Amino acid sequence: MIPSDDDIIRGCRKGDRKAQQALYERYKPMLFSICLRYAGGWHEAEDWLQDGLVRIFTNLYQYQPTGPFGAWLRRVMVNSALEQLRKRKRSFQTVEIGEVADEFEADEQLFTKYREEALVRMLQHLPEGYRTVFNLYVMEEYSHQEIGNLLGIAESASRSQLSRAKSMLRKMLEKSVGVEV
Amino acid sequence: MEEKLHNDNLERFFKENLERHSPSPSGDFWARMEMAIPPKPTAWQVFSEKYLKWVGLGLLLLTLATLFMFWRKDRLRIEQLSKQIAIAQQQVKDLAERQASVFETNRESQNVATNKLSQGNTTEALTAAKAKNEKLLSKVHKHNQPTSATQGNEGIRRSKVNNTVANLTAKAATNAEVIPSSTQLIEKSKEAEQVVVRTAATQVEMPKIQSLEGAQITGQSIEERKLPMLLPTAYALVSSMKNQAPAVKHFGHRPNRKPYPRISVEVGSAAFAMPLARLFNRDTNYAGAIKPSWGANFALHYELSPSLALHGGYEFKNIRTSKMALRYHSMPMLVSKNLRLGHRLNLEAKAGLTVNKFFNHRTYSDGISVRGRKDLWLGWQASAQFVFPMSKDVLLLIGPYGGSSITTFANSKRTWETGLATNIRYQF
Repeated sequence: MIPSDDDIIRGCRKGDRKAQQALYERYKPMLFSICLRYAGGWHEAEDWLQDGLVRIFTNLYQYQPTGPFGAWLRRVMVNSALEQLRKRKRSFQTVEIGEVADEFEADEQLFTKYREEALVRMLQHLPEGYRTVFNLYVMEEYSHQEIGNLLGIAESASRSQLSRAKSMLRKMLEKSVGVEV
Repeated sequence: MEEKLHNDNLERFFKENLERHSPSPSGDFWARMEMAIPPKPTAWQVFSEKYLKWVGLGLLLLTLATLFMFWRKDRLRIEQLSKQIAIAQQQVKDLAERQASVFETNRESQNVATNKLSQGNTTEALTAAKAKNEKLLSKVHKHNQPTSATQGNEGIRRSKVNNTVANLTAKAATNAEVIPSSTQLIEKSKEAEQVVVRTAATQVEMPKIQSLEGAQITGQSIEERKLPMLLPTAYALVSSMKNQAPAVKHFGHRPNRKPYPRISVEVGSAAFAMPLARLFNRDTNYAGAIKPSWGANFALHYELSPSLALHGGYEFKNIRTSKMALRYHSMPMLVSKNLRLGHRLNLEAKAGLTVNKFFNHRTYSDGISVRGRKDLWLGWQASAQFVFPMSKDVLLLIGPYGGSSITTFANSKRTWETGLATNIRYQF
């Protein structure tokens, strides 16, 4: 019998290891996907996933069933990823668009067969600040003002970083598919 | 990829593809994960996370309520004592008036006895003296009723009057029992005269019965002998008392403090509310409902005069909402005006500027982190606190305060806060 979200939540709140594993199995694709998009590589994403899951299990009693459980998990994981980024204390620097695109090694076959993996690779190839702004704006649908508040940067900086991120991604796409996009 | 991807299309392209992406971590991930999962939180941890703030708030309110109860009880006691003193004063006043009337009657009797003595009618004089003594005795008995003075100086003064009346009674009784012969009376009058002269010279109070004896024999009135009167002395003392019980603690009980300007130090805490939503554009997404926030502070109070002081210090503020918390430093620079409301109660009004800065964040797992906010803002603050003396060096201050930002935050908004502050001040 497949446990419902409510059963999983109840079990996790009691510290039941099976319930925790059930939660992991059910939501690992979504949670790991978030980590991969924000992190710079696979191993780093796994570390972040581990920290995020610990955070979820520790704070699960705070969850109020007013919204979907999946959305709550997603928010927690995004916050956890942002927290990891902050720990690095890296500043948002301006990087030349051409440099990044030139360094990117396009693989046309990979793009055709495994488009999602290829897109994640492109994202991971972006400078950290650009990648974070792109993820928050495109995937999480935050406004530039909110991103500015979250990351402690000006709204205009968020706009400019998004614009640059998209330019870089476009160039990388062009390299991957071999045509102008 | 045939057509050009416009900005929006590029975003949609990435979003759709990345949302379909469902990667899995390595096979042994869960085994590693199990080792990292912390043990189940204890009941106390869950309780403290959920309810500790309310327990703290409850304790704060309980403390305030207890202080208020003590203050009110003390106040009622003072009022009760004041009433008792007023009644006792009235009783002493009545007693004094009656005693004065006794003297007046006695003087008339003395005059009659003296006249008869001077006419050589000893028997009649003795009869008159006897009658006078009996009259005196009955009046003294009438006035020598037990009193219920029990408090402080009032009790002492009243017992003094009663002692005098008792002495008067005893002497009058002796006089009634033993009627001296005319020779004895003349001898006694000489002794009494000497006593009266000594007494008048030294202005020492003496029992009135001696004065009366002297006056009776020699035929001189009390006024002529310039006897010091107990009655006006006691009355003057009682009348000079304030119709108020002496306070246990009050502002004037430490007269030997350092001269102005002088410094006091204080520590305190505050419970307050700030609409954190004002800090963001999309309120509900970040802040949620306002919850009780708290702050702690220490300050220097530089007193320029009894009514004017400069106040500066540091405050730590922890703003709470349902989803997140922000902390900020605050440095108030205020001018303080002290208003005397009573011998045990002052009102201290403060107003001035504050320099504030966010310095850290704390978010819940479902909230949004705001670390990185570097807002520095200028604000104003005003408060009105009641001041109670707790001991000779320590004051308790309780009262509301409020304020708002003067400069705007990064989002061009301003916020405000209001709360209740409690401080303990130590006066050097």
